[in-house]
Amino acid sequence: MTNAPSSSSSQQPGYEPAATPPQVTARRTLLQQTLRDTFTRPGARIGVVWITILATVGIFAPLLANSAPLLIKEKATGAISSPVLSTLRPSDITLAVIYVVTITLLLWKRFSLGQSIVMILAAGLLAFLPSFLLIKSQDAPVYERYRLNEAAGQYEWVVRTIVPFSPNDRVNDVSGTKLKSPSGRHWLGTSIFGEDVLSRMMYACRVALTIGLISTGIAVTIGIFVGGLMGYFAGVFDLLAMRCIEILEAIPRLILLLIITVFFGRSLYLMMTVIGLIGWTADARFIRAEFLRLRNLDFVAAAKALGLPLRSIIFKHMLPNGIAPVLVNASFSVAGAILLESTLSFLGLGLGAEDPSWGQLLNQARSGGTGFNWWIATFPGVAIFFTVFSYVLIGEAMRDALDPKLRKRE
Amino acid sequence: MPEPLLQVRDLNVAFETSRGDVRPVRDVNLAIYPGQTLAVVGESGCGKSVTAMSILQLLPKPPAKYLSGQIFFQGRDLLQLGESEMRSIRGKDIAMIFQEPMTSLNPVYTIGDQIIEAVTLHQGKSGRAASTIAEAALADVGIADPARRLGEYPHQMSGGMRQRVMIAMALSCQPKLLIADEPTTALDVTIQAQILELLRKLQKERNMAIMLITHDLGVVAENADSVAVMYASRVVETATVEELFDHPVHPYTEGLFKSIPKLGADRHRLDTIPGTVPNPQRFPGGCKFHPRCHRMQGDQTCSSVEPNLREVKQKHWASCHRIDGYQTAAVTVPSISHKRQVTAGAATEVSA
Amino acid sequence: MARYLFRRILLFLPTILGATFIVFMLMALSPISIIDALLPPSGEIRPGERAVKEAYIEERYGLNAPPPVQYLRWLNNISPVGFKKWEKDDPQVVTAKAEETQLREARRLELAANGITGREADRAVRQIDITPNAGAPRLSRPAIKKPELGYSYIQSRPVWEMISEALPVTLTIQVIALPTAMTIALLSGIWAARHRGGAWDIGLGTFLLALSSLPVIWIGVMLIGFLANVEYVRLFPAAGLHSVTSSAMSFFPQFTDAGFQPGYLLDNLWHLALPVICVSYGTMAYYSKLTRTSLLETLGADFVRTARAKGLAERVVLFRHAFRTSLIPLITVAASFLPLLVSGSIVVETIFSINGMGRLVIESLYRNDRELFLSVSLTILILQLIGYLLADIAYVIADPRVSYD
Repeated sequence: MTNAPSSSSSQQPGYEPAATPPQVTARRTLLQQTLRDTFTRPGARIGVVWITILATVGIFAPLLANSAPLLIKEKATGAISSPVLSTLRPSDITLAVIYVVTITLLLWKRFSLGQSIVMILAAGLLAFLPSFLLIKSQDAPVYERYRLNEAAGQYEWVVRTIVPFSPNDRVNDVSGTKLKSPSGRHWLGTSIFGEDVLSRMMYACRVALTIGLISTGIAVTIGIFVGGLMGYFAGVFDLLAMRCIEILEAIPRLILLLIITVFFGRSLYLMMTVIGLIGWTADARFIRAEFLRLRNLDFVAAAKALGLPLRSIIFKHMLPNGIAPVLVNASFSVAGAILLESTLSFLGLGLGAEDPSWGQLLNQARSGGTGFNWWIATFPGVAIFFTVFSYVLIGEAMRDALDPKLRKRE
Repeated sequence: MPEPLLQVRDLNVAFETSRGDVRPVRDVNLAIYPGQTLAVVGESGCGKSVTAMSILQLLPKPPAKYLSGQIFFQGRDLLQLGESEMRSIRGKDIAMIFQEPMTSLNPVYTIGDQIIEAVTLHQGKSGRAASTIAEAALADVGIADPARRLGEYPHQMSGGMRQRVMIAMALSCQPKLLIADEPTTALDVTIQAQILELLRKLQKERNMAIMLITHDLGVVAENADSVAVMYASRVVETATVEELFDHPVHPYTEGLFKSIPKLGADRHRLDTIPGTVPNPQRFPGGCKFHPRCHRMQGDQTCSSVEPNLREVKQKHWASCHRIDGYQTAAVTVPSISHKRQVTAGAATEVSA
Repeated sequence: MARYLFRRILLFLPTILGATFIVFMLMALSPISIIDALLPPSGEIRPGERAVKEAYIEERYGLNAPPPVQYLRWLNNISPVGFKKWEKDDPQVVTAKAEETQLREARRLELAANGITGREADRAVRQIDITPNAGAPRLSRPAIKKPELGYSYIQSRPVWEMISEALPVTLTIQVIALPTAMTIALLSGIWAARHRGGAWDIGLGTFLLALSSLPVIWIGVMLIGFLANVEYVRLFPAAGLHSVTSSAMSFFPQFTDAGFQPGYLLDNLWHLALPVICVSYGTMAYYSKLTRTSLLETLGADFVRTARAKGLAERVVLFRHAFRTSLIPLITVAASFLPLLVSGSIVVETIFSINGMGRLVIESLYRNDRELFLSVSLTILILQLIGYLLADIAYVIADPRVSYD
């Protein structure tokens, strides 16, 4: 490989480069090259930075925003304890462990992608099992307990989290905390129930990120599977599946999602699954189109002639070639899923009041008495926008990196 | 001696890219006389298409820019003309046909629309008169039932038919020069011969000059009056077609001829030129051909000094340090008004 | 062309059937039964009242039959070609009803003897079903009839009436929004393509990308909160489609002694401004980027080079050759926007309290008003398919390579 596999700049209209064609030994290296190319673009970098911030804030939310203090020293006994720890749930710990392991692997760059995934999963499992067994279900938390104790002078000193309110802490011990605009106490104001908006927004990062990633994961998996079969077998199966796709696409997604949340209950998992289940059609179309094109190409015929099994032909020979548009689409569909969730929550049909979500906060901007609660409208709105924009930027960058025709023009 | 119709003098073109300029055309000199066919030969990427596009200034600016040189057409330097003056030359005095007849016609307009568009623009005719001209143009290129064909869309025609339409469109305004950029490359061999035959016929009828860009030496041998061989954005050798085929002096030209099969030749294998065409971003120093050249045997001159085009023989220019007499040869502007003695196929035309 | 259209319309039928079937089955399979949804769990004024109501709902929606059969019954109701229905006073129905009542009473007594009463007993008793029921299709009587969309449960009004009130509202917004958005998108897209690579092009591109990522729920709330609010700027009305007094206004604006009178037309436009902005900006941004891409792709095509080589002016090349051809992919994409418009209407109508189709969707869904929701979905589906059809026709007109048959 003497030539770098990208000689994009010499590709001018009406002028064929004299360069030898890029020597790409396997398409997968081209895919890796494209990914690298994607994340060198400023747009994609901004997107990644924002999403990383969100992930960090979301995963460490219990340590950043909690009504329970990080550390206290009791006057009476002199004992130092950390009330925050008692509020952690198994999922909090598992997520944090997975996050730390992932970041370490990303920075260390010693293991292959497959190894890394196995290690991340193993770490998650290792963290989940003991924490699940050890942590007993907690009683309904009494959020104001530590504030009252502190006011009563029971502690020598108290170290609080950055935001000293849990997302569902309605600050019942202080009167008149509902619908207050931003202040030193509540940086981003309070909700109609008196909850701290910033704290809720921090926890809402979790919903936003998981819903996008998991639903897209489901959609991509189904899409690749169905689309691959359609493209590979073509014929009657393709025809029937295509009709099904058309039917599914004819029902507006929001309506389908509304039906399911209204009639089957509101749950994060159900919502993720359903967004995934109705979002696979575009991926299937892409894969199908690619496969229909590829199945007529020589290298697939050669693979068939060699008597390779179907699985090997599809996954080793065809999929790496057809995955590009799906990857681009995945980024956009993460953005779409986040929008869908926030829209549902905004319409009051999303998650319950216990589960903070940006859309649900936005919904409070005009409700709860008279007037317009600008802080509730502005901050969650900006959060949704930035997150959606981040994924769109990454998707755009990926598309530019993948599309040689567009690349030529830049 | 007549004046050349078109003369390209020391043309230098560059493309701006994110990794610095690329120079697809360097110091190119060409001359075409009325009624003459100049063949520009070379591998893909040698700069022949860019040279052609430069003449009509069809290269998008940016990224293209003309660094230096002149392109004289009927005494005017095209590079100095404004866009609107240039437009009145394009299609009218200089027409161009392209390699891909399948995509070179607009799919959403009929053949008639597209020919009449040019006729209306340059001849000021419209309506009936314009469509009569279009019909005649189609008839000239040997399309049967031209009146009906005018109403057809490109996708209803075969590749050869579309190339005929392209020619009809290009010739509908009686241009003095036709630039044919690989006009037959995308066509079947039998159709290729028909199209070339057609071009020869029309050239004879109209005394039109043709700049024939090709990489097919067979096409050159049958059609050209004079030839310019390009390699790595430069003209490396230019001479009359007979002289060049009989006595090639540049090692690249020699290599080209050795790599075509000859009937009855007592050889088992064709010669090839070792190595590949260099990347324009990584041209070697000195002579661009020296890494592939068999004549170069550790010669420092070849790898350090870039040879320019010199008249090594009467009406024969080449750029190679290792040609006998090159060092003493004069640097003159190549210009060959010669017309071939025998036209292939027809074998009738005789000229001065 | 007519044959082509006819075939296209026929091909839409399976889509409509499939889509409505999915919607129906999702509703029918819900763990929350329609009876529980329609009848509040408590508040029985007279004993037995609830049982009567439950029986009414059961009969009205034919709940005894399995869901697919219920679907077919609904389909028979809305279809212009189908079967006559059993009427309440048909002798067979009366006989069956009498027998059913008798059996049910017997069962109820039996259950009571075993100590089962109340709702549990009601439910058990309803298992007994003697056909034919009123409202069920009479398979022996095929007929061409008037489609019946049914009655809304929540408003006790014919569904048809409600839709014919709501549909024009939604369509008005879309009919103003879509062409405006498309025009701006095409113009800005062409502009960007002509100035490709420049700072303005990149700036506009980023701006449009951001615009297309702006959530409607946020922009709607912000617009209404800041521009239609006495606390800030009251430039626009906060809700509804016209002023209370609008029916008394003259149609066109005029100057009278009392000063400037906006008139009915301006009043409507004033009310529509914010909703239209909300519905259209996303489409506009996305479509503008698309126009640019599509046009750039065409500008690199060989036939554009041919057009330039002919000596055509750049403007002619751009509009007559490049733009005309790049319209073809743009039409295809425009059709794929249609389902998105529905979602847009739902959100925008909720934010701006506009009684259009979107509001009907939410209301009927939330209250489990089955016939209303099904008909609203059906209308949306049909509208969408009409949109696809229009796109098809536009496509055939734009691209001579596509033939009618």
